[in-house]
Amino acid sequence: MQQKESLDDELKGLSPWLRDLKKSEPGLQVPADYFDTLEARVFAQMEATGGRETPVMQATRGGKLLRLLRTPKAGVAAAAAIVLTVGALWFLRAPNTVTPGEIAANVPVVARPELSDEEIETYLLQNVQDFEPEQLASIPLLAVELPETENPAPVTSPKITKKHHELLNDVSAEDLEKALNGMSDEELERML
Amino acid sequence: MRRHRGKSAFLQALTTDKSVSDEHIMQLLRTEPAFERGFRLLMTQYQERLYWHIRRMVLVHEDADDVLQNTFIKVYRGIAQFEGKSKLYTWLYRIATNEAITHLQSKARNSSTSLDDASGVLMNRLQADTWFDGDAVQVKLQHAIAELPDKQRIVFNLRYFEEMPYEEMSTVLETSVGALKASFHHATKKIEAAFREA
Repeated sequence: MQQKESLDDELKGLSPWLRDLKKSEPGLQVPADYFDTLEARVFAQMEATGGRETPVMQATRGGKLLRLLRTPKAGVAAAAAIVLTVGALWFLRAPNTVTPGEIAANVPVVARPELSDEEIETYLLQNVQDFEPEQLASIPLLAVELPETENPAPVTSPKITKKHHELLNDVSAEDLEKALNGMSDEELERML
Repeated sequence: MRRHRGKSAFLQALTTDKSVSDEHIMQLLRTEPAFERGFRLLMTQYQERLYWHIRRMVLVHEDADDVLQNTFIKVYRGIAQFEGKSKLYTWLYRIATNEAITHLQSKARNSSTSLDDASGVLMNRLQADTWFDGDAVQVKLQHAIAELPDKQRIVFNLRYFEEMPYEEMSTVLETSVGALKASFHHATKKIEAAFREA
């Protein structure tokens, strides 16, 4: 009821004539059994146009996220994120003194002396749970080459005039009326 | 036998409590054995509301029937992509609105009419429709509404006939409340002016 009063109040101020017209029947009719038979016709149409394979709606966003996190890729990505975050924090706090080679000397698994930094980092990511945060944080980050962007496209904002900004705020009917007098259909369509 | 669609019955269709049903529907749609049952429940729940939304845009019953069937087929085949970020009816309304607009544009192209003449063609089809028996005033009203730009007409229909709150409309049409209010206000003025000129 509060919703109808709101429209009534709105039309009372805007167009009392339209408000009164609303009380009369619009004249649009529908066949008596239309909605009773619609379901059957929709399924018939579906079969005629491409079959009726049963798609299944996706699970909730939470469930989907949990399934995603259980994949090996997600696990490695999460471990890498943790390592990089902790490493960045320690890097900012104190100068790095431990090299990957020194870490490798303490690794209690079979390791070849000629291991590269990349190989050590890959191993660390896969076995991050075996190390203390302080050890991980002291690893210097490998330099990563970022692709150069040539002349990135300038960011342009849509042409929204001051008039549009005024309209987009909650304004009174009077203010809207004043603003509308100066606007064309095209301007309004662009806003929408 | 004709069924006259009264205004009160239409509004009643809008006011049934949907919140519990939507959750139940979505639970069924998530499991393959119950999917079809969930879809049939969705159709039962929303067919009338979507029909009238579409009908007010395309005006003619036969066209509304085509668009509504296409809408439900799209819903059936696309439900796997619905992530539940918006409400179910918001998603349904968006599909129905897009289907109706596509239909209108296709009709205009096929009848080789300009965009300006499209509303005239629409009105001719309405008056020839056996499922319309409005009086002269209603014909004038529908003509004035048909003259509005597509998006403005959708806003007017949703607010005037379905009494949808602006906040709800904003999520359906993905437009700010202020812009929707402006559009509705402008539409009412144009419709009044159209009646004064006639």
